Amino acid sequence: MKKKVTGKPRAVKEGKSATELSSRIKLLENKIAKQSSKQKKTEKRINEFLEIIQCFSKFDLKVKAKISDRGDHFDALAVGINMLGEELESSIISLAEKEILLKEIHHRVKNNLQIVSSLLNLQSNLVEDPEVQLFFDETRGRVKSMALVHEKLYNSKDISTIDFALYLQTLSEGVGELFDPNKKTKTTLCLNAEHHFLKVDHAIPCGLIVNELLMNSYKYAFPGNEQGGKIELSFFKKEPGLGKKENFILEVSDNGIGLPDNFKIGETNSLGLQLVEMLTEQVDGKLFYDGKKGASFRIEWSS
Amino acid sequence: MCPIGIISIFSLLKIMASTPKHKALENTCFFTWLDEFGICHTEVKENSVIELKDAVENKEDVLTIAGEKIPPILVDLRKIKSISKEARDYFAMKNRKPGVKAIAMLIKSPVSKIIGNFFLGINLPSVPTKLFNSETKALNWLKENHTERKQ
Repeated sequence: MKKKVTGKPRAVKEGKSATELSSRIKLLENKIAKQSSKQKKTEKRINEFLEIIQCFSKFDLKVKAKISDRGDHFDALAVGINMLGEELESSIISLAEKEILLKEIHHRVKNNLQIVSSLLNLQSNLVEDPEVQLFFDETRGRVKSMALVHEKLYNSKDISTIDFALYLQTLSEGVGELFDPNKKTKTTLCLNAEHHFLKVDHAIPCGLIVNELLMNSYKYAFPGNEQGGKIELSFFKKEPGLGKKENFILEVSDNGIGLPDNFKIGETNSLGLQLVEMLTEQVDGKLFYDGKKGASFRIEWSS
Repeated sequence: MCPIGIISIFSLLKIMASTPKHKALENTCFFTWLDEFGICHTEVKENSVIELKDAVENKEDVLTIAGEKIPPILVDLRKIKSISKEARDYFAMKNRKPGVKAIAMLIKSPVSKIIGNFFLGINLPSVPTKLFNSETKALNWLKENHTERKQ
């Protein structure tokens, strides 16, 4: 609250001389000037800290706050800010190192799987029996489908997920080349995939499932059919209902001869379809199939 | 950093005179000595900026004065100016055999409080560590919990 000042100042009332009054005014002026200079210094130091924090937010962690010899609270703040910056820098570096290491691991896994695939190829060249050769080719296909996940992983931005649509594109082209390297048959593969990112623990089993189902269609759907047929591969996400999880759906179907009557996946002797059932369980998914109008398989799992 | 000169020699003599001890050593940033209870004392010199080389020197001094025994240590941080990350990591003894049994840190100035608390949080040493404002309480904690008692 402001008070109205009336009358003469106490010093004047007390009969102080003009010189005394003037020196007193000077003292007061000095005091005010000192306080203002102290306030300016305080503001300057606070601004320095703010600038350093702004630099930290831009990941410029090399900047350091100045520390005086006074050892006051501002120095304590400066020491604290500097130490936090150093710790932040060290943890960011270790994160970057982990990323490089993980990329290197995926690269090496992919290379090793490619070596396995090449070895299988060399072995299969020595075999004359076409059935045994097919066995080698199928195994190579499985190894390649896994190698492809690791290849996509080390090229991906976050190293832990892959764009499954791009993966399916490369995988389906690879399976097509494996079964029809010279493109003699007219079987067409139609891919319809939405761009969703899958983690490695889902990408590998789902990739293997697609590999098995595509191989199954190429091998059995169109026997003696020179005209070839049509294989459809779809991948999409079903919008969830209220309070429900999002579901991924993977469909492989063909317009071939279909599945045998009374076909039950649990009773089949086909290693490929046994794998499909097993891998669906691995991703906690559900498997649906129908064999009346060609063969169609549908796998659903929650994200 | 305090230069090794007349003042520091006087400080060392003062410490040696005031505290009964067997050996006392001085390096760029620390005075280090052993008391009659087998507790190692290390005092950070006024306005010391501790780098990794100073931390290594300090560890060597502790080893020299302690001999074969692994002593508990009282670290007087009250006059410290700053300490580098490398030195903090070294004192935290994460990837090396600890040279001390327990650490009591003496803090008072705002800077020493901040540094001490960093040692309790981010750079926690691998041996029991506690902060104290009082030297007597710090010594009691070390004596009661971390010195070998005579039968």
